[in-house]
Order: sequence, then structure tokens, then C-alpha cells
Amino acid sequence: MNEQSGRPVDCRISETEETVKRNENRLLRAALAIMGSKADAEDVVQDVFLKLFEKQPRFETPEHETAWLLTVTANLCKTRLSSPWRKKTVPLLADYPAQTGAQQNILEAVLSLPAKYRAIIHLFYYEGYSTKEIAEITQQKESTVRQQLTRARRALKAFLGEENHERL
Amino acid sequence: MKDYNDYMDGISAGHELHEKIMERAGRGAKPDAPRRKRPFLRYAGAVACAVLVIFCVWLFPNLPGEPGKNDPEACLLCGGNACVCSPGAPDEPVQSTPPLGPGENGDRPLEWWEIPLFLNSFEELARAKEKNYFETYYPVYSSKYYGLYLENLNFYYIPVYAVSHYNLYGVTLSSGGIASSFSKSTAPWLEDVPWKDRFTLTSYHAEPEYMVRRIKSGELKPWISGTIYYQEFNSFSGSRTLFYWVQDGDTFSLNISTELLNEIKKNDPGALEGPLFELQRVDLE
Repeated sequence: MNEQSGRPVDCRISETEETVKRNENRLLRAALAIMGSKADAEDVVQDVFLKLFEKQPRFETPEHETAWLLTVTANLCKTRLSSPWRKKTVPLLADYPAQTGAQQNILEAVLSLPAKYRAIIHLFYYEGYSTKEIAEITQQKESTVRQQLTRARRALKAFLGEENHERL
Repeated sequence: MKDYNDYMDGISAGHELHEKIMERAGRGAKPDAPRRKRPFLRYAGAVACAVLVIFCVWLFPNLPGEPGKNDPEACLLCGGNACVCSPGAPDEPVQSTPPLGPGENGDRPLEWWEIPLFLNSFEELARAKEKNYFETYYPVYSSKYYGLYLENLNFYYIPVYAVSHYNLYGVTLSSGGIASSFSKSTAPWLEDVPWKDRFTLTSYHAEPEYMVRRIKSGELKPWISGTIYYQEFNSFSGSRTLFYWVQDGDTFSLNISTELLNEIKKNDPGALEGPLFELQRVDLE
């Protein structure tokens, strides 16, 4: 029996599967928001869980676990975006079409932002993290996060126009 | 952002992605081989550059033209490595300024350190001897004292061919390749010099200005005397044949070429036993 960290492999896989089930959708959405493509996002999510399985970190709370996974997701997305090996893929909206015109508009607006702004927007509006928590996840200063959030909002406002921006 | 959140809520990983994740987790490895190469390929250029730089750093000192490394007549003073006192160093600048006559620098006799004599070959040395140059330009020396200045970048290189009186002054009296190269073919005029006078004085190795300061301050005596003995000596640069004498507690040495030593041993083997001769003081005042 191949053991690591004093636990059987089967046991670890079972624990990992539970963690995967708990977090895969959330991580996929964050990766989609940052990467802007399904294929890249799925690759990132796979890599995130692979790191989880390799490192086997101890989490104090489920929130801690989620924050760690989102941090790794953000880092891997950043790495992949700077890599020349990044896949050329179809846009996000082609893989996951919007259900309404409003969704289409807001998604187009968000996807028009730089990746670092998309990460902030997603973590702030969808995940509901504070700027302080986002700063920890993205490993930046909180003031930087606030500044990026302000600039992202301004860019969304410019993209959507004054009327649609009211709905943000 | 409600529309954004609604859109994101509609996205799920799906069974296929879940299976992929679990498959990779179970294997503990990434599935696609090309990606595994990515971390290496990302730094491959930097690694290649580092290897190239290290190779160049290693290669440079081993290039054939590097001074001293391939010099068959490497300096005795520095153990045969590259040094500015070695006349055989290929990078040594060669000056061929002709010697000045006594009148060209005024009426007074030149001090020995003022003599702008640059000799670049043994042929020039021989010609200088033929013109009685040294005897003319070393008025303070014995008429049997022969010297040679060579100017390098920072050093005066002064092998001295001494006959009977030795005036070291504490200056650079060096042998090296030049002294060893004196022979019948390169300096036929030496035939007239008795064998035991064919020594090259080997002593300090320094800039002449510095040594002159030491002489003038009295730190170094302007002349020496002592008894010379023959002694085989293994120096750090290899086996050398040297003659020693002692003056006021300082040991000085004379270098002699192996060629000359063999000639002495062949012609007069008993000549190397006991005191060879006494150095005579020469008062400069």
C-alpha cells in the first residue's frame, strides 16, 4: 500500500473527491471569469485540484479551504495568461451562451476588461469577498485591489453606458 | 451584477470535468505530456544562456593567446605565470625609442633611473654593448657593469649583467627569460667576459620610482657587498640554479642559466666550490 502523510491513497482520493465536489463549480466559474475560455478554465481547475492532492494542506475551516483554492486558481490563471503556450480557444460566450440579453451585455462588458480586473470583479460581486479578502487571495495590497475595483467599475460603466450601469 | 451572477450560477463543471479531475488526482500526474515540459521550456533559454556564459568564462583563460600561459620563457619571479615583468609576454608593449646621448638631456650625467634606454632584443643589447653604451651611460657604476632597461607597462625590467662590481640599489634586478637567453649566438660579445662574471642579478621586483624613494630615504642601501656562493635552489617555479650572497641580513640571489652552468661544470668543475668571489662596494658619492 502506497501511503503518504500517513493515510492510505484510497482515503486521500475519497477526501479529495469530496473537496472537488464542494469546490469544482466555484473554481470553474472563477477560472472562466479570469481566463475567458472554457478550455483554459478547465485546465486551470484540473491543475488546482492536482496541487491540492499533491500538497495535502490542512485547512482549519471550509472557508479557509475555498480561499486557498481560489488563491491557487488566481495564481495559475495568471501564470497561464503569461504563458505563450496558452491555448487559442473559442470565447466563453460561445461555450456558455447567455440566457438573456442582459446577461449577454454584462458578460461582454466583463470579458472586455483586463484579466486582473475580471478576477477582482468576480471575487467581489460573485463570491462576495471583501477587498481585504480579495487582497489576500490575489496576494496584492488592499489599496491595489480597491484601485483595480474602482477602475474596473469605471470601465464597465463606460462599456455599458449610463443606463445599463445602473443595474450593476 | 445580478445578471452576471445568474450567468455564473448557470455554469457547472459537469461530469466530464469531474472525471478528469479525479483521474488526474488518482494518478498524481498531469495527463498531457507536452504541458509537463512547460516549466522547463519556460526557463530553457535562461538555462542555455547561463551555460553559455559559464562556458565562455571557462574558455577565456584557456585561449591560446593568453599572456603567460603559453610563454616558454615565463618569468622566474612570478613562477612562470603571466606577469608584466616577463619579456616574453605576448601582450607586452614594445618601445623602440633609441637611447639618448648624454648631451640630449643636459650636461649633467643622467641618474641611472633617468636613462631612457629601451632595448627590445638581444641584438639591440649587443649593439649597445658594441657602442660602449653602458659604460658611457653608467658613469656612477663600475666600468665593468652592464645593465639593461626594459620598460613595460608599469615596471622597469632590469636584468643586469654584472662583471665584477654589483650595484643593486635595491632596484629591480631581474633575470627571467632574457638572462637565460644570453648565449654565444645572441650576445657574442660576452665571450670576452669571464664565466664567473656572467651573472644576472635577481632581486626586488617593483616600480623604479618606489625603489628610488626607498633608496633616497635611506631605507635601502645604495650599494651592497657580500660573498657569493653557489647553491642549487629549488624555487617555487621549479628548479633553478642560483648564487647567493648576504648583505646586512638580506639574502640576495643571482640567477644563472642552465646552459652557462653546464658550461662552467664542464670546463672548470672546481670553480663552484667555496666562495666564488666578493662583491665590492661602489661608492656613488
